[in-house]
Parts: sequence; structure tokens; C-alpha cells
Amino acid sequence: MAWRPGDPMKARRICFEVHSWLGLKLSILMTFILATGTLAVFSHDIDWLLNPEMRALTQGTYASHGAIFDAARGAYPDGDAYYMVHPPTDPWRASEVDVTTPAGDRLRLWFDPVTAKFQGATSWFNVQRFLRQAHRHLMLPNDIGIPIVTLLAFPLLAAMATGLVVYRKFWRGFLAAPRFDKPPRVWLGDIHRLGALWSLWFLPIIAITSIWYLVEEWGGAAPRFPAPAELAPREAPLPADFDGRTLDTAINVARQTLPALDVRTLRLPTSPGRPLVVEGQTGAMLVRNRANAVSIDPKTLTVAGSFDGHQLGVHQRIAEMADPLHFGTFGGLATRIVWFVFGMVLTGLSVTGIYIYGLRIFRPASPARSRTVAVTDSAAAA
Amino acid sequence: MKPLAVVFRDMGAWGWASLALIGLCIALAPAAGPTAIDWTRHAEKDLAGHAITLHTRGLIGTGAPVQVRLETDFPGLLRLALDDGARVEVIPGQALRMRVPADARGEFEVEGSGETVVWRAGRDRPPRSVRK
Repeated sequence: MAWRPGDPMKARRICFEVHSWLGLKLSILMTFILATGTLAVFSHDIDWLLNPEMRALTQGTYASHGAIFDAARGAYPDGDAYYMVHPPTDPWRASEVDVTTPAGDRLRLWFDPVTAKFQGATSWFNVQRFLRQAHRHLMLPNDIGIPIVTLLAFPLLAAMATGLVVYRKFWRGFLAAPRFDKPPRVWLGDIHRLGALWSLWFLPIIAITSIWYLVEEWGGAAPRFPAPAELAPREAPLPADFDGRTLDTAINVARQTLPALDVRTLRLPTSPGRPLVVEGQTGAMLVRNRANAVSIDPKTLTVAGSFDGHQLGVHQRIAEMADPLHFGTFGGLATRIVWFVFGMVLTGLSVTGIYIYGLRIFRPASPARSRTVAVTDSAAAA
Repeated sequence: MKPLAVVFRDMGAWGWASLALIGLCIALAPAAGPTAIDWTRHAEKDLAGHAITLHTRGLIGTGAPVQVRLETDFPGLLRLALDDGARVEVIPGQALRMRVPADARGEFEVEGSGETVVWRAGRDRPPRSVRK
């Protein structure tokens, strides 16, 4: 009974078996990864809902970075600030400064983005971190967890391809309403097929970017951005007289270096050999903030290096595109909503697929039903 | 649930392996970082002379979750203690969700501040802030 090319029935049968086997064996892990990834789209917002200190209370002209920095110093004089998100990514969020305390804890400090008033602190590990780490590498070491998760992209693509072969004339199914007047196995199947069809554009984006993460993990990462020039020697991560005004001056230097730079994040030095890095967007499509950056010597306030997302090579460009496409962040809230909805659809495909399998296989232990099934199966065999 | 039981049976080792991975993931989550700030790791501050107001919402003494919020002009940490010895530490202006034991009785003390906040157990009304 070997499969012969040109035998569509046999091809469909094989594809159905493959589709069914993949869905059955991988459904639990796949559902977990898809669900955590879907929730991760709004993970920052979940934290925002849970923590009042993360909410922006006033609207208006944003305070300067220096004002936020000084407020962080005032709230945590002993803390070492190493990361700042200001202005906030959304107008309803507070500005964030991450600090390391003398005890070695990492905290997130939250500030009113307009008044720079300190609103409170939360732990570094939060819902967003849990969802990110669970989704990305199952909390395992990266070299173990990332391959386990990202390898699921291959069965995901295979399930899509085999599903299309099994679903005859699938292009007619985009507007097929589920038949809710039929038994659950039928209408669940209708929903499964409908969701799958509408996810045809989304699933490859998620799967291919996942495969890219696997490539990165296995040695195919893009070349690093140019290293900054050597900095003036200093004894501490930041000079003793470095304050908010100095920070504002440094940011102005960065803006003069990259005039199109819309500053989004700051990386403050954590050791004497490191620069202050001002990151943001310059209009280059689908790149992370770190792809547009100016490194500043915090002692001399001179530029130690800079790069612009427009100057990236092909390899770096692919690497930079992966996150915005996988996370759905490239278009702000609108694309995140779309990513969340289709993430729910993919998660639903995994759940409905396995339930349909269960309904197909499961036979209630009823003598009459058993006889019927036996007769039907015998007839089919004959 | 029976169809799902059939499904899990048919998954065989794949099902158990998946559950093991997910269980390991959840078990490892606490090691990734504390979900709450451990204020006992931070230095105590001298709060003397600073104005302090304590806001609460919820019923203290019933065992139900209670929100406590401290406002102060002190820029660092505050330490708050229940009189039964359960210690809670908060930072100014931050809402704190905590579960007060059902047998907790009446008085919060803001250590080092010279401030005592009196609370009548079981009453849903704001506490009085008393400056000693």
C-alpha cells in the first residue's frame, strides 16, 4: 500500500495521520507554549493592572530624563540605576527605572512621567518576566529550553501544511459558519478549520521567527553592533558628580549625533568600563530600540560610538525584525491586539484539535452503541 | 472528561513528558527571582520627625485581604509592624496587599517614626494616626 504520487486520497489519508499524530502527541506542550506566548503579548499590561504604582496619573509634557533620574536617586539613594524606560511605552504607563540595591536585589521603580514623582517600587520578577521566561525557554537554561520550545515551530508548520492538504477546497471555507446545530464533533471541527484558515498568515510568522531564535541559539546570531571607543578611566560606574542635569546633557549629545533619534530607553553603566547608552527609534522599520543607539562616555560626555537601524546588514536586519514580528509590537496597541487575538486562535486550534480527536476515538460503553460501532466498522472493513 | 482521558491515554509518554516539562517550568519559576520585594534585606531608616498617614481599605482582623497604604514625606523605606509580631514593610505611597490573621488585634506601629496607628479590630473604618 505504498503511496503513489498522484493519488490524492492516499495523500490526504497520510496527511491526516500526520496532522492527527502531531496534534495528539504535542498538544499539551504546544498549548502551554501558545497560551503563555499569547498572554505575553499583554504581559506588561497585566502587571499594569496588578500594580497601581505602574500607572501614569497625570497627562502633560513629560519630565526630562534627568528629572526622573534625580527622583530615582532620591527614592533609592543606595540603589544603582541601570535601565530607564522614559518616556513610557504607552501614555497610561509610568516611567520605569530599574535599580540594583546594595543587597543585590533588582527593583523596578515607577515615576509619574510628567511630574517625576516617585510612585512606588515592584520586584523585577513579575508576570511579564514569568510569561517571557516560561514561553521562551520553560525556565530552563537557555541552551536547553530555547531549542525545546523553538523546535515546536516545525510540527506547527507541518500541522498547517498537512491540514491544508486534508481540508479539500479550503479556500472556500473562510466564510463557512460553524454548524452549531450538529453534534460537538462537527461544530468543533468547523471552528477548528475556520480558525486555522484565518491564521494562515499568522502561523508562519510565529513559526519562522521561532526557527530564527533556534538559529540564533545554535550559533547563527547576527554580528554584534560596533563596540564603543575606549572610555576615559573612572573608578565607579558613574562619576561622583553625575546627576540629572548631566544625564540631560548626555541625551542632548546623543540627539545631536543621531538627530532622528526618538529616545526610548537608557542603559546606564554597571561598571567603570561601560558607556551610557541612549537607545530609541530613528524611523528604521521593524528594529528594536537597541538598533539605534549612541554610546556616551559618562565622564567626558563625548560620543564613544553610535549606530542607526538604517545601516544594518542583512543578517542584523533579520535578527532585529524577529522580535517585533514575533511579539506584534511593531504597530503599537493595534498590532498587539491582533497578535493576541490570533494567539488565542492558535491556542484554540491546539485545544479543539485534541478534543475533536477525543470525541472521534471515544466510544461510550453502551452495548447497543458498541454493536452499532462493530457493525459499522465491519462494513467499512468489508 | 472521558474523551480527554482517552486523549491522554493515547498520548502515552509524550503526555507525561509534556506535563513534566511544564511542571518543571512552574517549579523553577521561584528561582528566577522573588515575586515580592524582601524589605528585610534593606536597611532600616530613621523616620523620626516625618509626617505619616496610613490609609487602609478592607476589614482588618477578619482574615480578609487588606490594603494598606502609607503616605509620608520620607523618601526611603518604612517599616510597619502588626502588634502580634507579624511584620510588614512598605514604601511610601505604595499599596500593599496583605492578609491579616483573624486573631490580629488593634494596633499598627510604624517603627522608628514615633508614630502609632490604632485600629479597632473588625471595624471597617480608617485608622487614626496618632503622633506620640
